[in-house]
Amino acid sequence: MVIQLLSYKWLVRIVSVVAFLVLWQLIGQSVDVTLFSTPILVVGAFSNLVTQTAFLTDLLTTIRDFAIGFTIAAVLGISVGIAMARWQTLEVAFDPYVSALYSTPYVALAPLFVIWLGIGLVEQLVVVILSSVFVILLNTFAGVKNMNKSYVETGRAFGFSGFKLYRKVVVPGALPYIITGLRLGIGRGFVGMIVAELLVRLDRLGFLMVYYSELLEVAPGLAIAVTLGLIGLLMTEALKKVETRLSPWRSSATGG
Amino acid sequence: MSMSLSVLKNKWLVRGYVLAVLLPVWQILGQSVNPIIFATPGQVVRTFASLWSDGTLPSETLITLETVFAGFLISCAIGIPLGLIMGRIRLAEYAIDPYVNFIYATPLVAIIPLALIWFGPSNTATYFIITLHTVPPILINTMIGVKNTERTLVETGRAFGFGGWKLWQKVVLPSSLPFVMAGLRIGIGAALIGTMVAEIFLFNTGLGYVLVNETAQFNSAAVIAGVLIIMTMGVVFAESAKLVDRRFLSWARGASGIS
Repeated sequence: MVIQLLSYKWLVRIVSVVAFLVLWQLIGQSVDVTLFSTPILVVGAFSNLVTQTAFLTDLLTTIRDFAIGFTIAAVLGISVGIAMARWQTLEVAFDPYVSALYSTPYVALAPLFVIWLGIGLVEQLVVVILSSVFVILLNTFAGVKNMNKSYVETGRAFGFSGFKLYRKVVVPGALPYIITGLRLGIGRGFVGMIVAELLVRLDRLGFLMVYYSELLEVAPGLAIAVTLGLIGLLMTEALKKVETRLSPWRSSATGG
Repeated sequence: MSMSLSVLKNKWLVRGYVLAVLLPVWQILGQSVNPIIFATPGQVVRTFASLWSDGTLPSETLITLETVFAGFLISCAIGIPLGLIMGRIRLAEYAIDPYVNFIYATPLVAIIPLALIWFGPSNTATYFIITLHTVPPILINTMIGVKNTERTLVETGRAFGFGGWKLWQKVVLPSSLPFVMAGLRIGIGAALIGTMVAEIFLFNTGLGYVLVNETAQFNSAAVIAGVLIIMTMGVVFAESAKLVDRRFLSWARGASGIS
């Protein structure tokens, strides 16, 4: 039954995507190729990008820089989140700033960092960190706060205290929330990365995107957008898998 | 410990202390490092006042607000009905969800160059970008809400003779409302993000224009003034959505939805 349902699900999805692609191809060919492009042209543009431009190296550099920024954001968000849950003074003192920055569209902050930090890796990293750190922090905070008090007491009864208590009890207990924060953060951080590419470093991917749009070439633009979309999808789905594995009792509907 | 406890008796006191330390530090840093690049709090206040009184900030804020709300309404009109249909009909869910998930995961800034080709620098392009940001969270939460409507509720409804529209009106819609609300809460934030993306990258109007224009002149005090307004909008949207939640949906705790 489950297998049947699963295959029905994927059958519908595949039929839908294939139908969409065929329709797109037909409309693109017959109505306006420059405007709509076609799936075949996009695939061609993708292979052109890979073979004739620095697209792949650019992409890898972008991903590497993103990984650096996201790692910093994760370490920062998790540790500050735990600290704010542990010391109420910290919570009270900084929660207005965290909430305000969390609600601010991070795109709006990017221009400011161009002035402050100039155009370069540091600026990019800061935009990535700011886009992702607050959602990680808030989820970690919620995880530690919502943790069952009896876990901590049991831990203490087993003689854990201080750092050990955190390592053995608190962090594992809050882990499902932390992973949710990381999943939400990785998507936001990736957007921040592309914002930075487009706004501040007009070399690399940002350059390619602007370049092709000025030539009014839709196919390479779509090829780049689809590639970025697939990378985003891959990252969030991977973390979703970790999430359900760690806490199968929580539906993926919660978080945030 | 006893010290921190007594301080906690007034959390606004703590917040006041923090601000009382932060502002002078910012002022001194700004003055000593580079007042043009790191505007001081004093400069920001003065710039804010002059940009507000000469009408720049009020009119650009109004443009941004209009765009956010129009984009949000369009997205509701698309996202809620689609979500209801997808929550009820499996075929529709599986046929459409690959696209929704894909759009949700794509860094939508990457679509900007394409939107420029497709629609030119126009309102259509702006609303295209905003709906791409805003429809997925509204749609997904609505769908989850409908799917989570308990079987027993639906069956009880049927037993009471509800069918078709009546079943929707009396059972499915009320039970999915908390999720729809969660979707709207996230959606209004997404609409603000989409609007800023469009205003900064697509064509410069509203507060996005203020940001881009003042950045080009290295006028960081004015940029900060603009950011402060955008920040306030974000906070006001988030808080008022929470307020609505608390006031009208207190019976439905725990439906936090996805963000």
